[in-house]
Amino acid sequence: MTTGENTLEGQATNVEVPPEAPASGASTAGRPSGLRSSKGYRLLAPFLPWLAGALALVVFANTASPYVLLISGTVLIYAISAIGLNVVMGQAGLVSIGNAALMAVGAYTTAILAKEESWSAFPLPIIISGVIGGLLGLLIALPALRLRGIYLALATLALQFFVVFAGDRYQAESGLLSGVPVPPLSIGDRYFVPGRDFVLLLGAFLGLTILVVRAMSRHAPGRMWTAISESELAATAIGVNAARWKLAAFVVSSAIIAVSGSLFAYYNQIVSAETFTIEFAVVFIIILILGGMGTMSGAIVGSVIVVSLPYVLTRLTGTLPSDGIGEWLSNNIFYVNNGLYGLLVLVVLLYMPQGVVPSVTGLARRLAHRGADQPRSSDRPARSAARPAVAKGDDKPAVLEVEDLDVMYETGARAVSGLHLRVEANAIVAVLGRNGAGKTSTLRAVSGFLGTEQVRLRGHIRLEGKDVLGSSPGRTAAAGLVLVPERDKVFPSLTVEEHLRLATSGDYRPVLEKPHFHRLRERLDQPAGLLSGGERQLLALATAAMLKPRLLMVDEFTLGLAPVMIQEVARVIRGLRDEGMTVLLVEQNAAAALELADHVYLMEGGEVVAEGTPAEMADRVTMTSEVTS
Amino acid sequence: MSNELAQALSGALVLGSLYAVVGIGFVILYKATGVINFAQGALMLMGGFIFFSLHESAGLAWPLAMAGAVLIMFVIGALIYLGIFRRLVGAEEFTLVIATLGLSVCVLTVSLIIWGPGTRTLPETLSRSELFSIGNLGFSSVEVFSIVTALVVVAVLDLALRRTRIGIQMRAVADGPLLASLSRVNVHAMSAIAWGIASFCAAVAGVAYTMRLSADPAGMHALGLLAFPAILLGGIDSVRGVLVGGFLLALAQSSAAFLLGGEWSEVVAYALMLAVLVVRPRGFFGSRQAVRL
Amino acid sequence: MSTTDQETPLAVRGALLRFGGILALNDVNFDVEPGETFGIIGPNGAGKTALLNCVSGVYRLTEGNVDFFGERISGLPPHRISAKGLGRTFQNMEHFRRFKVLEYVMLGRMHEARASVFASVFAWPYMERLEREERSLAMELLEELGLAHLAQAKLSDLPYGVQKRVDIARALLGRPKVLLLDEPTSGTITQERTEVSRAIDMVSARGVPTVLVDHDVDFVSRHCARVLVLSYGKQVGVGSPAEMLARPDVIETFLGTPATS
Repeated sequence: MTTGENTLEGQATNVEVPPEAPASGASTAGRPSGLRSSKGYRLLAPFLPWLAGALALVVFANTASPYVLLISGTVLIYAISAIGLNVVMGQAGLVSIGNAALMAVGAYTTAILAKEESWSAFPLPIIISGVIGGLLGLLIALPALRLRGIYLALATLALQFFVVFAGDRYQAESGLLSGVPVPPLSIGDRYFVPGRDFVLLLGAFLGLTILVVRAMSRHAPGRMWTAISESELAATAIGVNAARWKLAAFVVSSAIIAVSGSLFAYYNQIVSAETFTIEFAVVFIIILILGGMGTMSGAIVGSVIVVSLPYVLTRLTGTLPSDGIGEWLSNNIFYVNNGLYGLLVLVVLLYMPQGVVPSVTGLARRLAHRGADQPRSSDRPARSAARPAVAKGDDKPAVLEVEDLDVMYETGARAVSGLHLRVEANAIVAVLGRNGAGKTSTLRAVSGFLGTEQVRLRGHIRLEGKDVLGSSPGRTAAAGLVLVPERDKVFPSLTVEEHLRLATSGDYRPVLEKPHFHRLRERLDQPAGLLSGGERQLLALATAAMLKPRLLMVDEFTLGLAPVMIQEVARVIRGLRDEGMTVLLVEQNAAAALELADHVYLMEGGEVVAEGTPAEMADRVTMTSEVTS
Repeated sequence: MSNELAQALSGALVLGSLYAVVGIGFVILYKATGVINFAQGALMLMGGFIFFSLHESAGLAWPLAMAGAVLIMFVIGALIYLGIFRRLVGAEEFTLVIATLGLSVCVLTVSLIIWGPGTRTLPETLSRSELFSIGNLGFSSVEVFSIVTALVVVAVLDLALRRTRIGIQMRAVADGPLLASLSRVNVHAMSAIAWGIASFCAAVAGVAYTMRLSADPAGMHALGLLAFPAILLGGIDSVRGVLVGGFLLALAQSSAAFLLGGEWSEVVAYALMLAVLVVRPRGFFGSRQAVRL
Repeated sequence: MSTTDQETPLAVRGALLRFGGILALNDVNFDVEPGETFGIIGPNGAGKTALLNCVSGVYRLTEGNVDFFGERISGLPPHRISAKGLGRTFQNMEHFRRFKVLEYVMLGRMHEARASVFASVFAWPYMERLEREERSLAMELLEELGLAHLAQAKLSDLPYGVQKRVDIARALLGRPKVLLLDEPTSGTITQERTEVSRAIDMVSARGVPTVLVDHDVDFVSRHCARVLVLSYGKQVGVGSPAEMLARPDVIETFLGTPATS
């Protein structure tokens, strides 16, 4: 990302090419070269991975031990289910804990149909399970149209309890307390029991699932889902019918999951409500988290890890010495195996939040590109040379010195470039500029807000000579920088008195004795959320003053205030300065700021375009700033 | 009033108080850190087991064992924040939910490894036979203790949040974490305390449950999940709401058990939750959030 | 109130929007003429984006209405309004971070009527052909904007100035009859604005009636013959940029009143 960053003045376009070259098939289409252009290859190319996959599965099914095959069958079923869940969670971004319930519906449907002579012929029970799953998906989607995030998840949690309850009742009514038996799957007169053939059959089902889901996600449906998952509101604003596509996602996903439940019933030959617990549902979310949300390969890899890990661990335990840790492990292997997912998911969330597959491929890509973007530190443009720091005579450092500050958001938004600012002690300095000029970003950079967000900062920010660039807001606050933000400057549910108590562990009353804060005395018991805009500003300034800041920064204090109130707040700020405080104002309201400030900077398009005393600046501050310095 | 109905009502009061105390911990944690905690049940269980061990194995008198258990759980809660959730600050809501699910599995596993899967029944600490009755609404000492403890915990927490400086700081963090850090509030410390409180509340419920019935892993786990309907009924971010929601849910469950049979109690709870979700997603007292484009 | 005539691409009448106790918009009226680029300016918090959101259906007007070629569109859900041919861009590009440039542009092509999960599975070859056609249309647009080489780049890896142009391409691919541009210069620095400006020239060259909302007064003046000035949700006036910027009440709107009287 930083490869094109050696910007100098003359740079015309800001286009930066990301280091990774496009590697998708689409871009190679118009590039005839050697083997790639041969017609046979191009016709075959899309099928090669499929052929390879099928071949690998056949070889595997014929060579693996029965024990491994038994486990692989479960892996394949889990993978189908996880891919189904991924449609809703990974692609459409809708949280669901209803996976176990949907699998249970498929399993019970199959168990019931497989007993009936006229309904049991392959693939009827599987298809009907899918259809019923899809219909149930439609039902789940109804609350999903209203609910978002965690509320939706809890609604699907309710589904879980309903289905298990119904299953329990069914088992109790029919006297099958230990589970509903399922006759083995048969195609023609061929019976499938867990083993080689069943694994091949499941492999075919997995392939079919991948094919279907891939067909959707490569086309418009996939794009709509991604758009909805990124921002439903924005998606509808550009024309996506969110309700329709959410419905579609739930139907498709539920149908696939129900089919996996049907296969699960055939595979285990028994269906019991006890299987389909919340933990079982969570396992599939964990599979997606582990493998990497949003990709089918992630769902498959996650299934492999989650299903096989307990077996692997049990094996390993057997090889450990039978005392100490080995003994402890083998005694508790059952619990450890059950608890392993929990530990795994925490480890993944903390150390590879993208999931295993994307992390591994990302690492590989980084390794491959190492060396490509080495020059990171040396590409600073020599701006400071072009624009020497203002020499101020005395050696005492200014309260605040900003040099060569660049602010660029990870989103690509550039807010500030090559900024210089200097705030002397006991002065009011104002930064003027229109909305979007980069003023607020400058303040946020100074106060440390940007250190915690996804922002790239460069340059120097010195508070009394100490560099605070990239510190957290807590740090800068502790160092003596206090910011009164543009909005959200008070805690709405805290009363005025509580604000004052928050600001000091001592007695807060002296601050109310100051004439300019008198107004707050009548409001002590009121929640700040009920105060007027002006009163909020006063309260914010009062609490800020109690923190005894080295530098008080006020963002757009005039915003939303009536002229009378602006005058009152301006008097307060001047009063604080007279008591010895240093103040940095950021303002859109030039008239107010020009009267208050001792020194003024004018910002435009992320840069300082002029500075001087208010008198010097007065006629340069115009609406259509044709200011060229 | 028939005897069964009276029993159902007194049962509802006890159950409601448990929901209330678990729920208030949940709400405090959610408001201060934005974490929706699915590990309540597991923490409850661990609290109950620690109490059991302190009382049965270490031989502490039950009030001491109880104090010990809830304090240990407070520390464990704070450590959970410092060890895990501190690193997930700023993560998406869903990521945090998954993390608490993972945490739940871990806490459960650790508990099962230490104490085993069986249900542990304590010898009677407080009498389980009827202490007094209002009309034919009978209460045993242990039930009264359970209700009173829950109410005291809720009242004390509510008071502490409103009156103490730490309480004010926590509410400040809940209102606006960024502004709080600008006001020199130690946001991490407050979050750790919030986790401590959530864990503490779960433990109080766990101890009360254990004293009245037994240290029963499945039962407590289910109860931890049932706190969700209770919380959603009241509104996920409302302390007042969770009290109302807790007792309302308990009442609904008891009536369902009374009218339809015990196995209906859980289903009715979730059906109620679903109805509230569809009709009024923010619960009865919850606040709305706005999305900006 | 009757609808306006069918020749007027966009007509806003008596628009009033209340958020809680706040009047975000208070009696705003304007027409956009065929082929015109109409500007809306105002200081931070004036209600510019709120107005745009009302037109595109994201917010519902408390009072008043919006007509689109004589047809009432206020009250319709946003996707329906969009389907009628009203395109828009975004002020913030944070909404769609996962998209690659080409994929994002293709999002603008709303062939929703034909697309469905069933079509993708059971009419794969047909949908695949449709997809290819749209891909090449999208590529043409990117080419025109000089962004073709970035087709496979991830949107969030690009500078904002580029993202804003990609967003314009996305909106254009839907062949809008009216285009709303929401703060195309926000999040960009001076040098990037020329590029965005060029993209807007391209839009005007196509004759698409456009509403340009921006806080950069110079930028809006350059592109629009008529501008509407908003202040605290109220309409200060409509007129040519030169005429409007000379008015004392407009100057006060932007530069504020003196702090002492």
